Amino acid sequence: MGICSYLVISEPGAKESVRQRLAAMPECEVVPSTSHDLLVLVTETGSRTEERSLRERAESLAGVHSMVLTFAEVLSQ
Amino acid sequence: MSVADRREFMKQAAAGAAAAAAAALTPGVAFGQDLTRLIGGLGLEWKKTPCRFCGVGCGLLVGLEGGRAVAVRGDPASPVSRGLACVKGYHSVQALYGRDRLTRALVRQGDRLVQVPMERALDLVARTLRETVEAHGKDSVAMYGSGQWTIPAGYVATKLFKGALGTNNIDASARLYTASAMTGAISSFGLDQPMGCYEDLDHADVFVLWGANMAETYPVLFSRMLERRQRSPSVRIVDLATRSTRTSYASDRALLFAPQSDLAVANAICHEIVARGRVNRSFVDRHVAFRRGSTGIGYGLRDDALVSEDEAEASFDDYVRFLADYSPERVERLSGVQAADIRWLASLYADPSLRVVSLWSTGINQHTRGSWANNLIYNIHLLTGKIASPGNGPLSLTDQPSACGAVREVGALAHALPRGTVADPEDREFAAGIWGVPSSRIDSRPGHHALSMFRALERGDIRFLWVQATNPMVTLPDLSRYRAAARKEGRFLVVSDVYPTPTTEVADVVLPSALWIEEEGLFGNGERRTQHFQQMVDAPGEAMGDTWQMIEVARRLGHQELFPWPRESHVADIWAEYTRFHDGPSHRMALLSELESRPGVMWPYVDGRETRWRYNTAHDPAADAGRGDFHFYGNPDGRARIWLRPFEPAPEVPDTEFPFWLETGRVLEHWSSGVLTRRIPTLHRAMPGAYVEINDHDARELGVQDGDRVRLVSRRGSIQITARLDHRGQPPRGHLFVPFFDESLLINELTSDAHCPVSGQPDYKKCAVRVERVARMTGT
Repeated sequence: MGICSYLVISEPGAKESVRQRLAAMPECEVVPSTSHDLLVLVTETGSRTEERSLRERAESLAGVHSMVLTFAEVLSQ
Repeated sequence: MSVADRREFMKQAAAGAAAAAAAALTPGVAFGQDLTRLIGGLGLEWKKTPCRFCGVGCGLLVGLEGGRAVAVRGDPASPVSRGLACVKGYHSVQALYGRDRLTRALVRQGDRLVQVPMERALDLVARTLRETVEAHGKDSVAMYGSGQWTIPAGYVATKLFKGALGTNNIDASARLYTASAMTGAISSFGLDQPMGCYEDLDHADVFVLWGANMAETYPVLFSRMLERRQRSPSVRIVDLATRSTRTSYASDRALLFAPQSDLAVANAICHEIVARGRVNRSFVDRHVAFRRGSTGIGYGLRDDALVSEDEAEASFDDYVRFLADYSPERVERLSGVQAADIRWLASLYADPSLRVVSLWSTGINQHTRGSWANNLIYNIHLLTGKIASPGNGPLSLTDQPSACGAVREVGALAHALPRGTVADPEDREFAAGIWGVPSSRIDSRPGHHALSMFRALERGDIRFLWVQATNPMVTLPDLSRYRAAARKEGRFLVVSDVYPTPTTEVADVVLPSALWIEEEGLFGNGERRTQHFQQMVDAPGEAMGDTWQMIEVARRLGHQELFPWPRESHVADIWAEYTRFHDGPSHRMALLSELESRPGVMWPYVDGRETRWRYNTAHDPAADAGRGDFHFYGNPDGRARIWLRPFEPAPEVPDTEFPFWLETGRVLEHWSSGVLTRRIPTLHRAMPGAYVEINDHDARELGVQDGDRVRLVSRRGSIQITARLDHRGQPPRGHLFVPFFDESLLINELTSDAHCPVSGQPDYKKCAVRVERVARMTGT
């Protein structure tokens, strides 16, 4: 099981749609900035492969400009 | 911790890391309550407090678990910092838990300090104080406090010494950091404290920083300025400084001036405004009076008494004639600032379409003409009418968390009372009425200001000195002189502190103090904002709050009736008594119940409204709207003063024997003398020791490379220190910079105790030294 966080930079005006799409993924908790086109994304996945897959899906979402990994920790069960 | 708890904890850490990255990427970014909910949790209880370090007063939330403070985050509800904190603030709670924390009282026995029960130490302090007064008179005892005091501590100290003991020998280390701001404001406006607030940073079009390295010393406010510029790209930041710093690199223009020549530069700006016919005559005619003062007032090197302001009336024409000496070309030769740049600065100040804020701190205040330097910045704003309105005004920044609240506002200074001065019979009568003492007990003569106090200790005029919440054996200038004074036979030094310091080393009694959130308290920040914090954790061992230490001693001296408050409610009781001093529209303060629930309230606080811009009749309840848009009610005629203050040289300038200017100051990671921040492992590792910044060309001529050991020598002392080239700051040729946080490298052995004779504030920014190469880093 792993927990990661990302700083997600959205395209101008796309923050809310990005938030909705990320929030729809069960592995994601998302908090949008109230002042900038930024979102905090915290993910919880079962393996490194799952995490990589999730990241690829998130990065490919419409409105996502880029994502920066800010935290990664593997937890033993 | 269970797996489920650990999982939640890691998610909080993950969210916090992303938020911190966002803050680093985009200063001022906000996330609102959703992030608070995500980061919060895990059973941590979060309580609000102002930060313990500088005078900005950032709002923090402290996370508590099992009786310990375990986490910090910025308080999004804080109007000061809006969820941000600097690296010191984020690590601040670790300062509570250093391994060498003082937990027991210590009493000197020969060369050693030995542990004694707190009650016995307090008995000894009270007995020695009483015996000293009996043997040498009431003015043989003194209190040296601090802007690190809480407001109740500053108030109790003032009442104890002025109201109970009858001596005005109480002063504070705020004298070293902010006194010129106080005397400058009083001479220009008749009242202390800034007229504007940090909200000005959100409205200004131009920021002029007068010798303030805000990127390192006020990073949260600097972030707020950068955010303003990011939102409005036409906003400009101008750094006027004596060396290039991180602030210079982030500014739009950085202009270097020769030390002391800021006085001339300010006058040259006004010269240009007048010469171009850009004076706001309507404002000046209605709201300004011109004054001329004494000149050639010395540097306090021999005289202890401060110079009182002589005030002679002058006219606008007199002012124009006075400014004739300060043409931009002439000032260019003195300051090194090009005439064209002076004219450009003047054009920014004078342009009616631009809102301009001037900011300064110790660069202006730690100055042998610090009070004048403050007047001269005010002059520019008064001449252009850009003052006391959103985005327009002078804003003096403060170094200590409660220099304004616990010292300047409560009158914990040699000349002051909580309202007014000891010299004024009405003010003495008023204070005596609240304190329940005969007014004759309050002496009309000012006591010793900070440096004068240590000189009196040297002479033996003061025999008993109680130092609280400050570290003079690191921070006083010309340190070896005053350390010798403290060690003289027949002197009794009491030191209340939280860690061993060079000051506790010379003490006869050390009282372990509670720190910050280990007691309930209030701080007053640099924008007239009072902030309350609860006791959140227990103080270790027998450590006791400074306020309660003084109450215990007062009671042992027989003054129970003046300090009758129960321990569990003494902060509330003191607040109720203290605020009676300010119960009027110009300074009314909020009730404690409001302060408990809000992230600070700015005074004057009248009818539920904070005052953001004093003297502005649209905002300030004390200003008379009948006077028009502004009313400078601190002066009897309702007008602010433009002072004719000349350039006068520094008392000590580089020469062939000592060819470098030495300037001291702060760095991002450490605060003041480093007592707290050096106990925080992350900060200590990031900046483990002091260093000297040397200009590349000078270093080459001296044969010094980065990392070499050099000896710095002044007329007063010497130290060996590591040289840094191309470090954080870049001094110009002939100029050195050394931070003062490192008690193992006491740079104040070298500095001079020359000070502003009006404010008593020493000049730590200018003395003459030479550099001697000692050894190459590699051992050559």
